Amino acid sequence: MKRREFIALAGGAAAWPLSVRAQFPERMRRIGVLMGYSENDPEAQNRLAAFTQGLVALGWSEGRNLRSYIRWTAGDMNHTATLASELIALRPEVILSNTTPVTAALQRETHTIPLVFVIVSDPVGSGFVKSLSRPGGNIMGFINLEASLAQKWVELLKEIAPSVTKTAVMFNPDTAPYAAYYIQPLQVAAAAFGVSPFAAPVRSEHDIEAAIAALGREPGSGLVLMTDSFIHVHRKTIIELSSRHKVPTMGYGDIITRDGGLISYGIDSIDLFARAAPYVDRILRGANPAELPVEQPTKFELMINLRTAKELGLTVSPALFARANEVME
Amino acid sequence: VTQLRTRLGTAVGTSASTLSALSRWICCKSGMLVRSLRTAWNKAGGDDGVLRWMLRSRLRTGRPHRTRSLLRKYAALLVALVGGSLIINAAIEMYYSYGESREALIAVQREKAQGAAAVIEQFVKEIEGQVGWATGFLPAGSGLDQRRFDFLRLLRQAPAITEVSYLDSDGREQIKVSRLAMDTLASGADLSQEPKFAEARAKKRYFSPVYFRKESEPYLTLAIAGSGRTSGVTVAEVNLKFIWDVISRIHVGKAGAAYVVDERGLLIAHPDIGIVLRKTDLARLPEYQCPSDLKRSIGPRGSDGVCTHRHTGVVGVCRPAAERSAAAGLCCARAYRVCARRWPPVRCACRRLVGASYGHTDPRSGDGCGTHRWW
Repeated sequence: MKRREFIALAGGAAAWPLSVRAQFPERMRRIGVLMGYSENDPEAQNRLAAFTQGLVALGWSEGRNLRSYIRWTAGDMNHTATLASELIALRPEVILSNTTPVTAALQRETHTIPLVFVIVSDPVGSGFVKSLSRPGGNIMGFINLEASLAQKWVELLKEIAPSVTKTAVMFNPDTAPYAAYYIQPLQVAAAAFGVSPFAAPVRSEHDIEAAIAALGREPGSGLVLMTDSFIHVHRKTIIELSSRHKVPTMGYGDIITRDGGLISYGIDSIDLFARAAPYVDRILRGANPAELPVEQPTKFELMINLRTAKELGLTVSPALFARANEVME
Repeated sequence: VTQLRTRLGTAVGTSASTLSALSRWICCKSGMLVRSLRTAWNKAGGDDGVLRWMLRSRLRTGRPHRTRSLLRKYAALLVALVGGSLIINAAIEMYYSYGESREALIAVQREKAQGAAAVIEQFVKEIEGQVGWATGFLPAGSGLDQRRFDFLRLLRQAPAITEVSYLDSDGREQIKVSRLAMDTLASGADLSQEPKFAEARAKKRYFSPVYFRKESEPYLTLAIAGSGRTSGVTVAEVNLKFIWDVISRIHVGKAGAAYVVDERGLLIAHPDIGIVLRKTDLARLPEYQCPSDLKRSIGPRGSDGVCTHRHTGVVGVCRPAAERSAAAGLCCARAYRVCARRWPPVRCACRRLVGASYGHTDPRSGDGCGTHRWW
């Protein structure tokens, strides 16, 4: 080979990576999001926005280097399975799922695509992960509430409404298959506080109406709402009915109180969605999902709606005020 | 020699054709040699020993190659002189600059480790102060309700405290207020034999070793005894995940990090919370043997320890944080060896090694190598 040819070839080879980098735009990465809520719910939109803003802060912007496929199940179980397979067919590189039934539906569809879950109660019991510290599979994410928190619900309900002697625990058995996870500790606390608990399984708005009307007819009744995507979707109806029938209602998150519920104890769900963004980012950059641990909640918030308390004729004790993170007047 | 001089003279004289003349000459000569070798090889029928013999004999007689061997000597001398001096120079420069850079790096890291240690000490002190406040003397007859009220306010003020309980002077649990489970009043559970009661009574305060709740979250038990013989002990369970807030704000270069380990080498705070929740034992990771080595190297007066890892070149500075608490352990800052800057492949290898053990990827750079600049 002639010297000039050799130099031209060597020089070209050295400069090649630079020219390639300049010519091709960044690779488009695909993520899937399967929300267990309704698309029209502003709260659900806020949660999703917290997640997408988190991604933007980490350098992922829609259209430039990221394409996200977002689907909404609105707490409908039949719809969930269809949407899950539809989303998997788009072959995203990582999927953000929320709520237990949605994560379960996705788990049935894939064992390879990494799933980051948010707002899942019992990932070990639901069979999503082997252990919290080492999930061991393609699924990892964030627990919303621990089982023992159900004890807090009964305790705080009894504290704000001392006349409560029995309480219904409302959930949809289809969307909350983990109900026993909360009911067991709840029963322990109920016994300690002299409250008799009973399950109020609901599957439609009609069921909700019947259950709350029945509670309204019996004095000394209270209502505990379990963290459940069905309850979340129908929360406004529940809050409206419980206030109409004068049933003191304990919620699982601040959104219940903000929408007019009496009292709630839980975590900041928007913050949880924001924290999911770094997990998705790390998976997109090649982290092994089996090695990313499941995070437990650390910040719990007690919120009281004074207006609703007044409507129900309840007085809030100083101890509750001392404990409350936020009091809505 | 004359022939060579003439040839070289012409070559050097006509500067434009220097290279081409020389190369043509070398090509011609080497072509001749190769041709003669091939002939000899064919004659010998491809025997290896014969080829070696042919080569040796040609070199020994060396009749047609006298000029070439002189050139070789000239070239070798020139290369040895220039190359040797360059290598020696580079080695000396590298030796000194490595030392200097290492010192500078250690100085910066020492500062970071001290900062982190101070912040953690402040965190522990603050919680200690808050728990101490809730342990305070209560007027006779104020009952458990007042204590409960104080504890509720304590939980509001100190988000890191998950649970707080009060043990009376006999070690029986009077009240327990928790964020996670129901509160208990006058359970009367006998905890007098537990170190959190016995040691707190003896030494006024007690820090437990770090434990992992549900095998995942790092926790610490802090117990403070009230003054007076009849006063009890307040016990708080502190979630050390909150140290993460302060640790993650400390930056050591771009790839360095400040982290906290306990005395056993268990990681209790790191900017990447994931590896903490996985309950990582740094003493078992080959590149993080520093903590245990450092513990020995830290002097009795709490001076800093410095270590360089032998394989990765990771430099770490450790400083004991919160001396009163055995649990808060050592606070380390680490960064990467400066000399790695000179050799990108070494830099990448270092990064891959450390990154692999951690599953760590820097969010600010894709793969890192090439585009990533360290110290």
